[in-house]
Amino acid sequence: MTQLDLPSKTFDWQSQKAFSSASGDDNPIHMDPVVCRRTQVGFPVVHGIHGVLWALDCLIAKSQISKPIARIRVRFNNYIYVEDTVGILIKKLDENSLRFALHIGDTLKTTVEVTFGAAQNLEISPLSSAPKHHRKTPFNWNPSEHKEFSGRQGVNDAGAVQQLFPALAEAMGHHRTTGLMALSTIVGMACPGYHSLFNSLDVLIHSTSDNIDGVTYRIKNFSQATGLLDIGIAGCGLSGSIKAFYRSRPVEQPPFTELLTLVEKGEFRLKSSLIVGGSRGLGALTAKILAAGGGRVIISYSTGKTEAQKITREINDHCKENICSVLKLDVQQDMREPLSSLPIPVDHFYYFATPHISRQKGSLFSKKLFDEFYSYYVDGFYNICQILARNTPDKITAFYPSTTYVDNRPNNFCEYAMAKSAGEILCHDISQFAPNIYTIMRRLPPLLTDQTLTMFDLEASSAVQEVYSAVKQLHQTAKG
Amino acid sequence: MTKTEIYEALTVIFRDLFMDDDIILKSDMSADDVDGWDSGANLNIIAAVEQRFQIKVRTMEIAQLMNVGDIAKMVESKL
Repeated sequence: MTQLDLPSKTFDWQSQKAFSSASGDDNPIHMDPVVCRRTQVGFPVVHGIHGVLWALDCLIAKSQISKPIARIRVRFNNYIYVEDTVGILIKKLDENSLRFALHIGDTLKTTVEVTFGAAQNLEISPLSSAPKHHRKTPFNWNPSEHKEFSGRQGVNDAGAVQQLFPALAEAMGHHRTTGLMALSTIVGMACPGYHSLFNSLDVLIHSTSDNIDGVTYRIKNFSQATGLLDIGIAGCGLSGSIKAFYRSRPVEQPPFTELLTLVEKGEFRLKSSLIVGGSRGLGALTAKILAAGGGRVIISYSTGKTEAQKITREINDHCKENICSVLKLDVQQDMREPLSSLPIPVDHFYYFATPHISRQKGSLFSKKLFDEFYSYYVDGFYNICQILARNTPDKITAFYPSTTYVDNRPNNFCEYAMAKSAGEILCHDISQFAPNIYTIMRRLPPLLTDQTLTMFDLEASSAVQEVYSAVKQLHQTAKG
Repeated sequence: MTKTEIYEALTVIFRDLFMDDDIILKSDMSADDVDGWDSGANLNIIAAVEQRFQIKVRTMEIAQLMNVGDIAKMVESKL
């Protein structure tokens, strides 16, 4: 068989739901696009184990793997997103082992090494005596509270294993295939659960019947510096270890009450502002700062309705009047209707609409990605300027947040910086040539938001002073 | 522990993590030289180094580690 004969698979929503339902791994990073946009993955990702089990099933069905499997090692290099089409690439094959990769174009997604040989003839000792857990929502593991953590995990529907991975279940046994699937459920639902990212696994296959109901697990080590958990596993004819990151939690901007102590009372009184993309991050912070200074604000959201309403409640409950309201606005759609029925007339607007910024890509430049950024940072901004200028009798002042990455950027931010750079030119020309609108552009350094979340946050600084300064600048310019 | 011993131990870590027994470490070897050495793998290396050498690495130190030589020097300084 040549590489060309190896199959590919599109991991669509149907297969995503089927794996989630069978495994019981319903972690929101797989299933909930709204939650995902506030994590470093950005969009729903395919269960890593799903990709591995699919590939093993294909390779067995195609007789690429025909010997008994003694050991499986996997490293999840990059995320596979829902609707991605993934291929299998054989890297090395000899009589003892097979190494292959799941890939999309030139981008390595998962590395798998299968060692052939007789299964272990050793009895497996359970790592926990706890009963099997069926969690409906992911556990929220916390390094300070649960250092010594163990448990026992099954899958939601073991009967579906045969249907999803028939060749693998026949070759390795239903019990062991179910055990491999349960590793996803351990990481996604139990340990570390909610804030998790599966990193790697190294398991031995046992020939003995262990009589362990489900897969038991126990934390062996947690690295504070890297957030990496090393977890021992035993059961379902498997033993070994899995590694998972305890991923960063979404960044919460300071509460309104804290900002009240920073912002001068009445500083933004008599001002009404529209904050586009105000349900989270810098947009949410801007809304709170303006409201803390006595301004009236409308915060727009595209998908984060609940978050927008939460901020509105936080502000209005404290102020005991409705100075904050919400507006559904998608900058990639026709915005004439929502913008012509604003609850209050506005004299300022802030433009924080953005897609997920940090992306994986297989080449230096992606036209598709550039077009997406451009539609937000140029088209969306221009369309709002036009509509507001037409609808408003007085002059409007607009804030456009650009980025220091235009001048100096890390690898992989080419399209983002290019689109922001185009937005800067647009800002300049709107101020110069449009009669009814004045724009202020500011290059912001990386600030601590969901967009700058990584495994560890090194360079992003607190956003409060930077945003407060930008808001003040906008108001002083408008006065002048 | 000598520098040679540190490099030998690091070689075991790298070969294990990248599933490649042909890796021969050099001090100037970086992410560009090893297939799959990305930001996630970088954290795996650090976690494995912590376990193998029984040292603690601070988060801020990780960003300074640009190549194998930097990792070896950090280990040496902490032993």
